[in-house]
Amino acid sequence: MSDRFLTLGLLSAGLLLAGVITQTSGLALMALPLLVYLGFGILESPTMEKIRLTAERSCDVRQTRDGAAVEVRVAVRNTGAAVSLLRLSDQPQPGMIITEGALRQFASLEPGEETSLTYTLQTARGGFQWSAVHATVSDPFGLFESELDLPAAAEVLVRPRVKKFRFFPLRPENTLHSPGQIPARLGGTGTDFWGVREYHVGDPLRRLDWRRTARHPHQFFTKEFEREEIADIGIILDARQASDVRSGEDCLFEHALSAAASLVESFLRRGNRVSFLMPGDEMTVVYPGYGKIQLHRILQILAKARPGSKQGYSSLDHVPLRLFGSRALVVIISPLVTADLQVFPRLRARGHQALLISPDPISFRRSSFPRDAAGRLAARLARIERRLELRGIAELGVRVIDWHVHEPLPPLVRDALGAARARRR
Amino acid sequence: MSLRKAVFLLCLASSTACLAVAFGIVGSWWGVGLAILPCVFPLIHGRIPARWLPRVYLVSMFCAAAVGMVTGATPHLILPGAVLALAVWDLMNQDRAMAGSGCEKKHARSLSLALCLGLLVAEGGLMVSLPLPYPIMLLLVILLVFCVSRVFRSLTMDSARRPGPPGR
Repeated sequence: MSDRFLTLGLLSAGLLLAGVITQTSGLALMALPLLVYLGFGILESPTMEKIRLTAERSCDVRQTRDGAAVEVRVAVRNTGAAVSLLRLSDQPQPGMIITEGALRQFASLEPGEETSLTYTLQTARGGFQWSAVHATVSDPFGLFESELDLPAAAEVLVRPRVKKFRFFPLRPENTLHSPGQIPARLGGTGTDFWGVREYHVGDPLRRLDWRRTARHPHQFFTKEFEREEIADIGIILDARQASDVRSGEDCLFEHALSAAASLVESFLRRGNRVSFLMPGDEMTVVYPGYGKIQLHRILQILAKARPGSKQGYSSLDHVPLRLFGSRALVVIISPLVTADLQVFPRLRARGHQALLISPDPISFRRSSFPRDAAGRLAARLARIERRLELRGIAELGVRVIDWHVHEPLPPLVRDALGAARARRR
Repeated sequence: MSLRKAVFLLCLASSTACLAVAFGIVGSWWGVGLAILPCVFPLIHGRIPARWLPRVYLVSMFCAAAVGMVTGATPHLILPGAVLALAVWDLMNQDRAMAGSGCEKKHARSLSLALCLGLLVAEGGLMVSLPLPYPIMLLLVILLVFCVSRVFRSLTMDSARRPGPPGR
């Protein structure tokens, strides 16, 4: 029952009464068109018992990347009596931009007919879920409406945009004993010459160092090559409330998340073992794994990741470092708060090589600082405090990248991880 | 200009013209003003976000028509004016997203049918004179209003009994 019916009902009743009171037949006659109009509405209005609608939703992709277009189609079939006016509507969801079509569709369905609500949306990172499509069935004038939700479930997962890093030689301090691409500083099978040792029974003859053997009669020597292995890498992405730094529409967490996704993709593409931790409102954990399945697992988590909304983990010191393999390379992506500094000595004490990528919240929010002298002084003090903290971390042997998020990250990571071994040598 | 818009403007102009001419014939110039003033509502409808505009338009047009009836204006102009005002009200309420869909044609067909029939019945009523005593007339009207209220109540109860859609 809509307010249109009320308007017409009250108006026609008023005219009839006014006609009787003033004894003017014309007034009563004016109510007749209104009553005929209402009568049409009543005759054509649907009854719930006769409405039989089924809906099916389909999306052209189930998973896509940030910014891609997704076409959503909801097909509604009428298996009951004729429907004079059907209005289909879908609820807009946060982060959804409709680029083609509309979230509403009107149709008139005869028995057995089908109509569809089709629209294309451009999505930001996240998970989009629909459980039903909202349908309003009414007479042609919209006087009597029946509302129902037709089950039509679907889900689209929008993964974060991954910026592919160009290849750079990763040089972690420690490697896992599985064949890979990283020189392990151990003799074995590989391509780079490593050294010469005495021949052991079983060594292939093609590895014999004939020159040295010629110099030492009755003794055989075998050439060794540097073993190439994979790295064991743990990534910690800070999703606590403190990382939710915003400047207008831009969010620092989105930059950190995009960096994490790119690093995960880069490490896994080269066959390394990667584990993932995300402390937020709760701890999200992905156990160590390899390959595309692991990448898919982590990207799925990153797709739905949101910065924490409540006071969760007060310090990164509470993250379970035991998840990471012994002496793994740990990459921490966090803007850092003072309480987090304790985690770095612990990491080093456990023998982990660590890299801190710290998106700079001060330069990110520079535009929101007051432009007066006090504001400038406050920004300067905050910068000094941050620089001192990062210097203290670097003195523990942790590689630190003070990342201004609008600068490209790959060259900084290449310098920090690729050159580490060269310096050590 | 779309067909819907053209029909809307035509109905609006015709409705206003019918009432204004009816008032003009009896020399009631304030009545002409009364008939023209509500035109503002449909013209600003859509430009300001007010859902009450169509209702105000319909009520004011019917009030103007009722005044015309009482003051002795010709009902052969007043009735078409009121019916066309009803059409304007309906078109004002029509969702713009409906434009171009198949149901728009169905709506237009039903609307024209309902309004033509209503006008015919009302005009026919002008030709019929029932010499009913006043108390019987009063009783008939009360009966009619009662019937309308019963229909209203049954429909209200029907929508109240209806199970709410899940998840809302």
